Amino acid sequence: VIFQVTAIGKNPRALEATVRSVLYWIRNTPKLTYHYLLWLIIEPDGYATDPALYESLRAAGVRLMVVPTDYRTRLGTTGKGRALQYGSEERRRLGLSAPSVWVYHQDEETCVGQDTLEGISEFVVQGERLVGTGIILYPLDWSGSPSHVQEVTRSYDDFRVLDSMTKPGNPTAGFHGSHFLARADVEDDIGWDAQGYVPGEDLLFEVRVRREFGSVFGLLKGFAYEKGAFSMWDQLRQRRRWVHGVLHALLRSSGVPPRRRVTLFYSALSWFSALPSVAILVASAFVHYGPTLLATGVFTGFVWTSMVVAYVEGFRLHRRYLQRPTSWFRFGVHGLLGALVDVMAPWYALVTHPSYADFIPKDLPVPATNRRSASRPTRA
Amino acid sequence: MPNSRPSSSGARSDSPESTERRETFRRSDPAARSGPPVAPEERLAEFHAVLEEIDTIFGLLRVEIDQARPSPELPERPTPAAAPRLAAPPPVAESPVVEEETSWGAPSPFLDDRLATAREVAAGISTEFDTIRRQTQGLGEAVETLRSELDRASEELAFLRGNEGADAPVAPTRPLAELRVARAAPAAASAWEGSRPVAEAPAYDSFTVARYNETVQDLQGRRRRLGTTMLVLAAVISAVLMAIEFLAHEPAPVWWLAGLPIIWMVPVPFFVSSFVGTHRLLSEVPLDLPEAG
Repeated sequence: VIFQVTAIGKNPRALEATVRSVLYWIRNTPKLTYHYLLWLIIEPDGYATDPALYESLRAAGVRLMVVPTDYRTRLGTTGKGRALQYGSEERRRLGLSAPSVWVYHQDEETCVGQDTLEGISEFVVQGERLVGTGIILYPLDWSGSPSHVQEVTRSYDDFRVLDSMTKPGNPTAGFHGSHFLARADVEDDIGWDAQGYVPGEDLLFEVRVRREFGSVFGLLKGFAYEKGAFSMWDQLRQRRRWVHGVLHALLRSSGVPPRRRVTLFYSALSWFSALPSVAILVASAFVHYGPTLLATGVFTGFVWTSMVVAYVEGFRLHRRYLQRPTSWFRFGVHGLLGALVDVMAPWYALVTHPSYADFIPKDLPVPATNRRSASRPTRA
Repeated sequence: MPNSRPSSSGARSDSPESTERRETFRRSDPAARSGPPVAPEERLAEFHAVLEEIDTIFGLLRVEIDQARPSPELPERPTPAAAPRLAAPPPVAESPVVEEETSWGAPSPFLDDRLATAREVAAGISTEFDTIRRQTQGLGEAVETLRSELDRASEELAFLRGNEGADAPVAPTRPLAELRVARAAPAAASAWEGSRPVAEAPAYDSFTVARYNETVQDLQGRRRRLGTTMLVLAAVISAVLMAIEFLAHEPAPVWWLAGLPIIWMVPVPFFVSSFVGTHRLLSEVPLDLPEAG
């Protein structure tokens, strides 16, 4: 199994924790059924942020790959897709593009646990599915901020994602860009190359795998552990990128089958409908439209309850991992704020352009006095 | 006179601290060390006790010397015991201590220097012992790590030899050509069907299988209650909303009637699908993992 962390590399401390979590649990999980390699693929400007740290990771056994500035894919993709394609070509070059090799994809802040490694082990041993993904929790650097509270709903939503992903056609468009495992030969056969910048390279990959191999997606047991955006502004930009990914797949990707376009369109429409719904709710105080609710009110309670349950159950999934308690009142207020950001995100995406330069900070700011020591490698 | 002076033998026999020190000496005696191995911390404590003892002896010696020194310029010690010493000589006046006192000559002028040097050396030895203690501790930790790694390696070896490891029951790997949609029947069944039953098996160091299992089992255990509560709550909310609207008897403009259901109903299939899918997954798929042995 190749643990592959693909990132720009501008969050070196988050990245270090990710890498060390793999090293730690590989060392402390007995009876794994696979050999492992740890690959770290970053961009040159990311490497320049802390060369000493990256070299220390290299010394710890990580295969550090800095994507050459002059590297060009065949179709000329840019962004993360380009780095992923580079990794894919490296595997081919090293003879690792084989059925017995699996690639576990991590973002820069995707820490693993013992359960992640065991989940991978079980998935690989069963060998029934070619690609697997699982549930992601967001307990790292938890502060209880609106953007963090909003993230817990994603963990509960992952059950929907997993269900949809493992069904033929992926009816509600579920997949992850991290915490997924793919058989190396399958991934390298599909590749990550595309024309230009693809904001949703993971979505495109999932669509292509499904098109080529059918419903070969399985559930990867074990959690991955990530961190939410630190601010609502970062949350908004992150969501904007997702929406741009969906819009790109809908409008610019020629390889998406028509049926899949329909499901993608519906998912996007559901998201876009959130803001008008909220607007109508507010307007209802002024404009009377009573009888209409006779038709829609049957389902309104269900939609509202579903949303509340996502917060409550998402939090319950996290509570064993959170070191900082959050009161229910604070949780509720921050949940509302976080939800408002998510509601606005698709419309914000409509009026702005996708940008490869969208950098979401994942390293907590370090006080000036600690900055020097924080940049030194720490023992896992 | 002898009882006026802090005779070394007398002071030690009366003080519990001295008794403790003698115990320390006894323990440091090689003959007494036939028991279990002594920890480095204990050795260091013993060493410190020895140093203290030496220091005490030096102190006592110094007192003896000061008193024996016939220097007229030294002020008379106003010890409370001085008067009775002169007035009433004790019955043990002919004790060996008195003989010792009388047998001593003038103290060496270098005595202070020698004492200072001796203290310096003793302090140096103490530092060295500290260093040794630290090194011993580090060595102990290294040995412990080595031992645990060897244990683990043995376990892993037994695991692999037991045919449970990387060499065996991995499902046969099918080549890509066979897997492609055009050549293979698309998987119509859900991903869960046919899956094997689960086999027995800051900060990130707390992300264990046990904690994961607790979390998913908790959710799966509450699944039925969660689903029921959710549906009941949804029905109640919807009923209340509808009742309010029905009782309000308010007219709605046509454009509201035309547009509103479209917007509000759009996400409903998504949420219904999400509810059904989540509960299907929670009920049908065992999510727990075998505990790492």
